[in-house]
Amino acid sequence: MKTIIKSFLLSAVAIFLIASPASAKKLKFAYVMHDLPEGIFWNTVYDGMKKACADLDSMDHLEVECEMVGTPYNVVNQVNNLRAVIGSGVDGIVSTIIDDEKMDAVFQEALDRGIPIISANTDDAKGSDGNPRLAYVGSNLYNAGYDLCVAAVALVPEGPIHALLGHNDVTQNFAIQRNAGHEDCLKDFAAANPDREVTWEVVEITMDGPTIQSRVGAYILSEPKTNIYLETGIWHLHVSQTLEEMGKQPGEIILAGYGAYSSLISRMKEGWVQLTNDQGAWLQGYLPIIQLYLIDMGFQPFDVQTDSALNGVITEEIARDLDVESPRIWKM
Amino acid sequence: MKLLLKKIIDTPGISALIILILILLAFQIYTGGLFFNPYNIELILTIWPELGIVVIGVVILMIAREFDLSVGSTFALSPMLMQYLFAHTPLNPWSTIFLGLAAAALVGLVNGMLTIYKRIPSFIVTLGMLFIVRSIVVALVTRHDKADEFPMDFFIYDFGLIRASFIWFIGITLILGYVLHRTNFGNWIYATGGQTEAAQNMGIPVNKVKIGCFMLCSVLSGFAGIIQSFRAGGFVLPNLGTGMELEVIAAAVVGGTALFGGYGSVLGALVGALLIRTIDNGFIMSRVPIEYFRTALGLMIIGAVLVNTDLQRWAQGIRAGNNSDKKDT
Repeated sequence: MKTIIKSFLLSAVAIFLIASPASAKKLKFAYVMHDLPEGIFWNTVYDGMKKACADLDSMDHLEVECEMVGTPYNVVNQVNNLRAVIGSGVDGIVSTIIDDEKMDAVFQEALDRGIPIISANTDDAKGSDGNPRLAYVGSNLYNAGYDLCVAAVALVPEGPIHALLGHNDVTQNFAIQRNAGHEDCLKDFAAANPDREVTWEVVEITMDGPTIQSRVGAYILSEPKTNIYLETGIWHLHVSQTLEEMGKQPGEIILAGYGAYSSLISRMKEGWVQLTNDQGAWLQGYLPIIQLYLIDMGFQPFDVQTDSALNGVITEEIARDLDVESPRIWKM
Repeated sequence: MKLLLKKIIDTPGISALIILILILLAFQIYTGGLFFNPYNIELILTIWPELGIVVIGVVILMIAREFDLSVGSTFALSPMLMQYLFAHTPLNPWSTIFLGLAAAALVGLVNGMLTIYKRIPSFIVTLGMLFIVRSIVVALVTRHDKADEFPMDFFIYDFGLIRASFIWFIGITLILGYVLHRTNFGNWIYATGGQTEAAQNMGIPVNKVKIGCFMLCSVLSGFAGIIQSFRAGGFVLPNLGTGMELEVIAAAVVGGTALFGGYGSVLGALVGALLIRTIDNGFIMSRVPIEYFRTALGLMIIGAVLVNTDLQRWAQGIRAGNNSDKKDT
């Protein structure tokens, strides 16, 4: 009887093993970022990552798991999180590089353990020369800032220019690099156009809508010659509301910033916001996961500039044709 | 005369009001008369209610000797849930607003129950709740294009210098000011925060009072969040209200509310919130350099509290002096 039961159990196990997709390869990827998925930006990145994971998982020969690990902007915590995912034996890591020095060792540690690691969203200032990451997927923040400013300045073809440069956080890499792009563009424009008066002022505006409205509104009242507002973040929508409340006309002050979310696109269609940079949030979630899979297949890693893959700078004309239901547009 | 002066200064919020007036005058002079520009007044009156309504709730809770660090998350929860329900269920806008506020009340109830019945400090309970609620907010993020269907005018209609939100703010202030300073329940709140044990011995239901204050604080946060989301065109950012907990505590303390309960006023809440918003606005007009902006803001907050405390001590000194005079005679 015991023999019969044993045979039955062994057969059942054998059938189970044969029936299950034994040939399916299991892959586990981790996305370790420097923020919590609270903002609409990271939420969209998360959606992109989930879609990539689901697309890969839908293939018969693959079982793919992805997890996103976040920490409020803190390099020590992020390094600890990276060590934790390395220790958990993942098959590939995507991470942001928020510090040019302090993250090099942990990236090397991953590679030494045979775990491919690529950066996304924020890269080392020296790129692959500064960090051993295999590739970078994201926007070039400085170039994005420069290009956005060039597009904004072109909308004021004559007369003096006075730009208010809204700096969201003087300690954060994204704002520092974009603002550097804004300032350099204005310096270059002033040098190339000596006959035009070009001035600007940097004001720290925070990342809180009402505070931004208060600060920008107060500044514009005290500096009425302001005709361009360039922000390092995504709150130019709020500024457009303030301008409307102040009795300004659409386009009287050129508004430019970052992000592509539905209410902002609607505001652009109304003519209140002129320019926004779409750095490809969804792609920053989708493409790195696909790339980790490709690396696993034996392909060479490659950099992707996500905003050049799109129309980096969205103008009012482009906005008119954008479908706000597209995954490209951030949820909100 | 001295006693009258003492009485005025000793009233919670009055010293903060004096500081506010001095600061407003300083900004007006420093900006060459630009500060009281109608547009700037309109700007401040637009954003003041959204912070002020939350500060009133926090002040009442602080008078009852409790804290709520989850107000920023609750501020986002109500509008986010409202939006989610509207996009995914057949509910009408009013029902979704009601359910958004009910969710805020639930947060307050849980905060209160855990603090009172599990004897966990409210600082810890609400810190935990801050993360839990924020996580729910992130999970509820939704995409919709029906913002216009919300009854926004009822909450934010633009009358010119003020919006409907300002009228709501004044209404809430008057009602809660009356409740706090003119009713038994208000006395219970002060007694609960000032001398909890004595209040309990007097038969005041201190647990119910505190839970009520927690719920009121959360509902006011949710209501202010709904107003701000309507002002943003009916759309809600999942990080709405992030960092607000520190801002409201700063406003409460600047407005003369004691950190250890039993002292504070609705007037102080109003003034504290206005001071926080005004300082910010005035510094920009005064062109404080970007590098020193936070330093200036921090110094101004500490300075306001120091002056506030000194004025109150001075008032107490007068009272003590008068008492000793009475004894001598």
